Amino acid sequence: MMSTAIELQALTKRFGITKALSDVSFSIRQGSVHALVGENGAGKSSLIKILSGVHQPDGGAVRLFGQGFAPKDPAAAQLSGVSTMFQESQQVSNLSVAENIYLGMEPRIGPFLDWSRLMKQAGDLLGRLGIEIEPGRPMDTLSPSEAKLIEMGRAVSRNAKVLIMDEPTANLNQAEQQILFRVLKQLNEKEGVTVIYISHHMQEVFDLCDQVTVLRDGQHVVTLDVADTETDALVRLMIGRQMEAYFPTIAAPTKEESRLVVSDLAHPARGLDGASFEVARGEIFGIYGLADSGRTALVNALFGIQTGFAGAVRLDGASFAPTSPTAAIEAGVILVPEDRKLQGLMLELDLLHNFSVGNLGRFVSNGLFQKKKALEAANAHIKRLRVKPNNAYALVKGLSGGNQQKVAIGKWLNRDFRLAIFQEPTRGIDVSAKMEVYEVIKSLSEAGVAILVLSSEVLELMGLCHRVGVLSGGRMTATIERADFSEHAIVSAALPRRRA
Amino acid sequence: MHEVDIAPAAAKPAGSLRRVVSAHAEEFLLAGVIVSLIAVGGFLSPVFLSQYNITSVARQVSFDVMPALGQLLAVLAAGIDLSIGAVIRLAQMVSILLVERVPLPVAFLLVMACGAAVGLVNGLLVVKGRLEPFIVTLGTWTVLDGLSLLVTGGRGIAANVPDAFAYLGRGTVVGIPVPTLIAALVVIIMSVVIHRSSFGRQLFSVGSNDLAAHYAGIKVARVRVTVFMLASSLAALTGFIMAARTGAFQPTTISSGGAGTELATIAAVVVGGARLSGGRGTVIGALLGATLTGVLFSILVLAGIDPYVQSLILGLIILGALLLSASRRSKS
Repeated sequence: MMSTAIELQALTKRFGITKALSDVSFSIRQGSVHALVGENGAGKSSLIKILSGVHQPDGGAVRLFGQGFAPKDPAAAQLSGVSTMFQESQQVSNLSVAENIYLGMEPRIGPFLDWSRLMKQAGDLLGRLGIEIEPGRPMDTLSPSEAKLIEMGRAVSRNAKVLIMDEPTANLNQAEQQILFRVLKQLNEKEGVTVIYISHHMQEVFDLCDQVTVLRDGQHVVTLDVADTETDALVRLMIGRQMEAYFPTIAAPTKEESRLVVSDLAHPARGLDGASFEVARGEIFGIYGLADSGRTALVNALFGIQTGFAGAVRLDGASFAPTSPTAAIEAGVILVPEDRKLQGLMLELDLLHNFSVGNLGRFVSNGLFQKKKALEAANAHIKRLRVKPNNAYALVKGLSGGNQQKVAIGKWLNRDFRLAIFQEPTRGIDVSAKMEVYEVIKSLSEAGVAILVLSSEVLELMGLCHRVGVLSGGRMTATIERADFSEHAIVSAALPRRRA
Repeated sequence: MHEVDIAPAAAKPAGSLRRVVSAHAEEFLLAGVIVSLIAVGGFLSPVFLSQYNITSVARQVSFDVMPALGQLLAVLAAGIDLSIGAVIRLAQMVSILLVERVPLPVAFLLVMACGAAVGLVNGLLVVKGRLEPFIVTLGTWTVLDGLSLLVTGGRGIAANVPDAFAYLGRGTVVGIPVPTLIAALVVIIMSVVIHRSSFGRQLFSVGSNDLAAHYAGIKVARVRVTVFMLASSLAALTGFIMAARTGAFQPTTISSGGAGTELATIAAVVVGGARLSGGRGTVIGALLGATLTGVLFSILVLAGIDPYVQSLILGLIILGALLLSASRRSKS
């Protein structure tokens, strides 16, 4: 017999006039891994915030193992056995791993911390879950992926019966993801924890989950057994319309000339050890690599963020060694950076400003900024990229991730460039925004721009690129033509090689 | 996950009027407060609305507005300039020392060069030394005041000011004090620089997110240094005209702690709606903020309130304005 862990009954939540959730009803089987999918704004966040006690519903009810469940704050939700792993880490960075796991419930001797018992308990727990991290390590020495594993350990230490994971793989590379999936399986199968798994990645849904619930515009669309559905059907349900293909059809580039030629680019201290590759006019060249493969140093070199690299770069035949982003941009290189909030956008300023900032010179005459011209350009970008809201005076911080990414890209469309570098172009954005980003990349390619796409999503690279270069240990270990693309070929070339 | 969905009203005149009003709600509110304060002042004392008092308040407010605009620049670039008061005092001293010895235009240029040099040092320490503007300008504040005390030996100095110089501080044109006209000119120029120029766009970009500005190709270091140089130059200009008005410099204002100009400028920009974390603020807001504090103080003086209480009130105004802006932010 299958019992129910969580049952939602006509759950409704409003924010001002927006209905974030309306009459959402479905149930989650005990012991299952239940995926929650939907575009940004579909209501996933509101739903998990209600379950984790951050928000309270305006209507409807939640039942947890048959009991009424209405936590007034996150502590109450945890006490009832519902733990949540939010995207942002919630840990105390200067304490040890063990202290973080047992924060607030540390074993004590009188008023003092029982240090040895704390370490032993934590060590046992981590061992049981197969997490290979020393309990005594300071939290701030952990990588983001290790920190996620510790959060999972913490949930178990609190006897969580339900664990909500909000896009847990968002910043992890393939190898780190595998470890997280292993611990997740341990948690689910051995510890009997029911998992609610929010993700934008269809692959994860099919690999990890038993059931999937689709939300759209705050409404429950369907709850299905994963075995009974497939990617295309699910994506169609999420976006609510027919989708011909996920990726645009990419014509082969005219391989007449190489726009970008990188030869033996090296800076050992930054992890680049003689990378060489070429990108032709109109070619979309994907780069796949794990976190320490040298991919960041490569971008930093090409965009002038760091200097002092050995080797040579030629752009349209001319030697190219930018000493600053300004110099790189003037030479015709643009970067859509990996962290759009930190590196790509002025969140507190409006769309008009953010769009114009990629080429202020274009809007200046007689030393004055021509706001009217900038407004016209901004409105054109809003229309072309289908940015919501279509109001040039809206502040960027109010936009969804996908719309923010469109702005981060759109600011460059005010200028001409030869080389475009996209770092994780679709990270954390919803399906329809992804498709629009792919369309922009495609149209740049058709206009003859050489394009570098760095992504940790293999399927994205396979769908989008003409060729994929694999970076490992600071070198290009493989360059794979589109005809030879396979997930296995790409991922295995990325694994670190043994040194002789 | 709440997406802001605003109706496509960008191009419609009605929408843009509403946008102007709502975007400048703070400024309208401030103007209202100032008008009511003036009414209260007139009610408290008939002297308040006399032509003499109005002229004197206008002149005094001019000396608050110019350095406040310098502070606005620093704050917009996500910095702060605590050395503004010390630069004003330094400029006063240098003006008094020079004005009998060299021709007036030369004295003016030298004073402005002093100001620009201080700003250059501040800017380079922040940019090249990677130091916090708060700490750097706290340091220059102390150094400059020490310098002023050293040069004067702590004694007041005075000069026989030439008529042309005195006119800058004491003269009027059709009843309007010359310092007020100069301040008005500065306000206009700074409005253009901050709100209409390419530099202004870069300034807001740097203040809102310096890393994103750097990645967008903006020369962040150059913007920062320019900001500090402009702020110090405005302070130097203020000191020059103040010296023209008084014909003397009293370094005891340093040791008695009666200066408070740094805080007055911060109060003005914060009351005027600027955000200390950068990227938000307007010239008109800073103008109104400086006017508000100026008018308030003149009422306090007329009402015979202990001058020491003024410092207390200034502090309360800053805290109040910060609270107000914090509550506004949490609402949005």
